[in-house]
Amino acid sequence: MKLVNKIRQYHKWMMLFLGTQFVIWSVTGTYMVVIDLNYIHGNNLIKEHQPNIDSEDVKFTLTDILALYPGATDIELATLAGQTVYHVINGKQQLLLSALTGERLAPFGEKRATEISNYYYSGTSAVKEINLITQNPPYGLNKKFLPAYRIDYDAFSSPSIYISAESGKLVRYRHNFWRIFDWMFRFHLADYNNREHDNWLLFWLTLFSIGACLLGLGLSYFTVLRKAKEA
Amino acid sequence: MQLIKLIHKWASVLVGIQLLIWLLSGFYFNIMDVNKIHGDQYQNKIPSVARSLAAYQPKLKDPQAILENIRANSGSVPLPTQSIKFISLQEKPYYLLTHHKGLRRHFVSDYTLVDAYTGQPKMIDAELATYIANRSYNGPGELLSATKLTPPIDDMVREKNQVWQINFGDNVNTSVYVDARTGELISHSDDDKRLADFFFMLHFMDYNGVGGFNSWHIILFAFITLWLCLSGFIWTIQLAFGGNYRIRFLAKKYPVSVKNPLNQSLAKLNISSHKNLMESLNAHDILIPSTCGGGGTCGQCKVKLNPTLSCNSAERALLTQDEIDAGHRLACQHNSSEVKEVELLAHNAKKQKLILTHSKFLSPYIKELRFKRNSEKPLNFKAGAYIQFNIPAAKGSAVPPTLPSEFQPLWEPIVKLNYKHPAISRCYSLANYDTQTNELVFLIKMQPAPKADLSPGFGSNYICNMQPGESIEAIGPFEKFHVKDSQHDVTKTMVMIGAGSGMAPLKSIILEQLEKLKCQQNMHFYFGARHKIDLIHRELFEKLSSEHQNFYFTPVLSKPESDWHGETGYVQQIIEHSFLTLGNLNQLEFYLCGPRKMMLDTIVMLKNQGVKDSEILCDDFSN
Repeated sequence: MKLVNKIRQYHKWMMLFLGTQFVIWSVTGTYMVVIDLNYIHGNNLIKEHQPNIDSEDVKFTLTDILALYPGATDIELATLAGQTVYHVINGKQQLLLSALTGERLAPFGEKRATEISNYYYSGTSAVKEINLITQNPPYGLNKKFLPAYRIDYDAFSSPSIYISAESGKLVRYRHNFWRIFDWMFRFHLADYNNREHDNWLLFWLTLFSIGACLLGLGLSYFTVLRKAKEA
Repeated sequence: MQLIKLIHKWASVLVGIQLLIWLLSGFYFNIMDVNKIHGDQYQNKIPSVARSLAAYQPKLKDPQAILENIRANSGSVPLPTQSIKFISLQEKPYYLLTHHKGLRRHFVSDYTLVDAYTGQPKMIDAELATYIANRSYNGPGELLSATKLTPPIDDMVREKNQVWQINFGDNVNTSVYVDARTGELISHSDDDKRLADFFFMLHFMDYNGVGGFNSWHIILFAFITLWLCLSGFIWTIQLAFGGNYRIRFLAKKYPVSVKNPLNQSLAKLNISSHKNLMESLNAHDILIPSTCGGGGTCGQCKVKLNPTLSCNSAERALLTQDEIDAGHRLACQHNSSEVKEVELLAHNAKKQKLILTHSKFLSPYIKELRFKRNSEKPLNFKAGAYIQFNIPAAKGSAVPPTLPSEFQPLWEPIVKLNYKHPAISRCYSLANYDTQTNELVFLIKMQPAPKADLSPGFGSNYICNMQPGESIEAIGPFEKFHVKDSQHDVTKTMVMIGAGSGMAPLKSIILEQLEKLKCQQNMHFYFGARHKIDLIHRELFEKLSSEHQNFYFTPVLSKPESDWHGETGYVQQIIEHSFLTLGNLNQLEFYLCGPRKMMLDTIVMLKNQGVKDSEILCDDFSN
């Protein structure tokens, strides 16, 4: 049999089994490269405030803190949605203190969580839902950030902003484009049971696909580059 | 469906290599050691020893005092400070002041580190950076160097801030990166990670090193690949529903009788239905031509089957309605379960050895070659047929070793390039008719190199440089271009249009019509060439036109010498001018063979004159 016939036969048969995988790779790959990664990360959802601490707002001193919390190992003076605060780590305890009075500002309620979230959120849409998550973090949020408020906005891409319920810090922001991207990414890697490594399915798929692709290149060579006749 | 195949074919040419790179780099990601690609095989987990701030007291400055200090020392525009964080480095207390913070760590940011006792700014120097790096390094390497780097940084293409690079002399060339403003340990890198980064660069087509995969070129390639995969997917489904996936042991054998065009039986074969007819016949040494290998895209594997047999989209696209009505089908699109009888259009297409008997130059670049067959049996073929030569891998030279003295000056400008070429196959039209002699005659143009440093045509140069007595393997003849099968009526006028070595099939047809079939139809032959010296076989055709009242020969020169009294210009222009003298439009048939450009121009001209597609026959192999 002529070589080109043989190549076409093998290519045809291999693609009967691999064709779907090639479609999956190209569809998911195209989604991932077409949509800008910064947008996927949701960087556009967040306003980049660069707030300045006004020293007038700092009345509670380091000495005051250490007097109350002698075991404090970490202290940070910062602002939180317009308020000057101390973040203090005292043993296993995470504290949020007013820099003015030393009063404990956490835990705080949904109202303050919404204020903080709105401070960071760059959009104008309304809050759809707010939840305090203390266990079983939703997909895309690490357990170490718990407890956290999840503030969902009523916008096209369903943005969610996660605010730590202990420190009030912005910990994560997600939207549907990220959720789709994450799903596409796992689909691209044929990761069907949530294990990124030792993926034998992907190993064999890729190995056979390389063979099928080489055969396809052979066909392109025969049908396009090699002319049948010199005039 | 032909569109799908066309998309698939051209998309594969455009992105085929990149698709292979994606697969190979993807395969690397699958098999690589995931513990090594982070570059942290010599990285220590530094236990965080939480030390109470009270231990540093009472010497610690108050954060507010630091703020005041900054304001006092930073001139008219105070440096904005959004946070003051206590950290310890080398067991000494510091405050890290954030002036500008990027949304992500590697984005542009601005920090100041100050001594928590004195409030004085502290720079991360080589000594401190080395100390930090050493603490996180547990490999066997010696410290080699510490360098402060400004972006762009090869190991961290997305980093936008200054970093210290501390290099260790170990087996994987570890580099430890420390933030040059904050003293924060950023990451380790080593040769394993660099290799992975290289594959990521390939996979993301990130040739500019921006650390992303949203460049316009990857988007373009992704879209073309999407078309490639979707068209292939549709094609596969079409093949599956068309019954093209047959398994050998489920297939049955069917008797098929094979006949030549004279309806004489050639063979009775038992052919399994799991292969298509083209492959099955090839397997029995009845060679059916094909350049696409059975994809239904080249249209060369024509055979005659039962005219009532259904034809698919490939056949509707590649065959004319006349051919379909006559029962012509593509052998690659049918199998033995559908047919009882195959009539070959290109019969006797068996492999054979041809021995060169004569080889002579007719013009500076065109040679007439005569071959003898091994067998004594006469070879029957329709005039216009071609033979496929299997040319072995060989060494070649761009200039023939011997040249007739009159043509020598014309070859002088050609660079004497020596080259090697792989085994190839080439098709050349026969220039005689079957019962004329027992030889096979060809007119072959030695294709020169298009540029000085490129090779000339491998096939034509190999064949034209063969010495008499040498032999070559050939397959054929194949009949693709020939006088219309329809009942010949003498009122029709045949117009032959040729140029250069494209004369071959036309010469074959003209001689067959005039000498063998004694045909009385009017026949015109327009032959285009550049110079007088290129008018091959001029005497032969002039003699024919004086002997036969119904044959008219019109040579046309595009670059005539001053003593030329004949037609001047391009053949298509001359025909256009004298079109009305050829006869009634409905009575004209056109046969074209020559350079592609000439054929395309001629077809356009003929269509403008109102000639129907079905009356224009071309010998064209360029697909």
